[in-house]
Amino acid sequence: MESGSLSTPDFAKFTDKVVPYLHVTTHVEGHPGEELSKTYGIRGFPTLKFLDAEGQELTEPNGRDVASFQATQTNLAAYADLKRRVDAGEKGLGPKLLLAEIGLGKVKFPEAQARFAKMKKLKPAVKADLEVALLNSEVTHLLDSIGRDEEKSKEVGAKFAAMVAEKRIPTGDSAIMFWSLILNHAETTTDAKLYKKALDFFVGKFGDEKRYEGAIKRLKETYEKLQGEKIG
Amino acid sequence: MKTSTLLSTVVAGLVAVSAAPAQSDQADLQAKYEKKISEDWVGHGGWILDFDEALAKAKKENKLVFAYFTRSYSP
Repeated sequence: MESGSLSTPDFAKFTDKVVPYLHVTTHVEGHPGEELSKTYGIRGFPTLKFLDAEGQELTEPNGRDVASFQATQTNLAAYADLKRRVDAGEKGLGPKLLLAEIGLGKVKFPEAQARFAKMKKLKPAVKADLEVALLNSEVTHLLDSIGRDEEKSKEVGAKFAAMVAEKRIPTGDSAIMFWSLILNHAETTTDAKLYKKALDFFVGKFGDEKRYEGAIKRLKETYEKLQGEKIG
Repeated sequence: MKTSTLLSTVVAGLVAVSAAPAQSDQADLQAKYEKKISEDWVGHGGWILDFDEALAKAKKENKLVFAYFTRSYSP
């Protein structure tokens, strides 16, 4: 990311709209702010977070590219505006507020689903946006339920396979994990057709990146084994 | 190949926070930090290294802080 998205001209433009703060954990005794990563519960490096001017954590970007940073910033601004209007008593903003809350991870899937179910007479475009957001939220919720439980991982993989069959496919950041579990499931159940769908996702996403060349090659080999014939 | 290998590759950017290496020399750690913050991407992003300064600027300019947490003690 440092030599990638953080080094692009687009990132330099993006930093005009925010205050970029760099925290480096050094393990140097007495280094100023060394404990800050613990304060924010940083569990791995690198981690990105949006904070308000009081240092309150707002959310993490949905991805590691500048477009994701900008999208999250836009969502935060939209959410702040909607929240202000709702708090001022403006009516009819529930669906848009829910959409913003889902996008920022401020509401978990079960609650979001329950709120959506109560919404009547939604405009088709708003309803479609909410359905996409809910699907992504559902996938994130299922992934969060796995923890370190391998059996649970298999169970969720089977659920994801069923979602693919229903053409319910996430578009958000969780898509990588979604398709990873599909790979496992398809390999275990020797479902070459399903495996190919996941393979296509990874080739589309990472096929141009040299560092993933080996991983993609191994996936293709597994697919060939499952299918029993070579692919191009 | 088991997909866990790919998984570990695609999420390789997230490296678990580990304890400080007991044998590491403080001067070496300081040198690693200085090397880190002199990298091109740091200058490119105009990153502020002081947390309080970043918050004060955010307040003054009515902006959000975009915080990037990384490490210098190991690659």
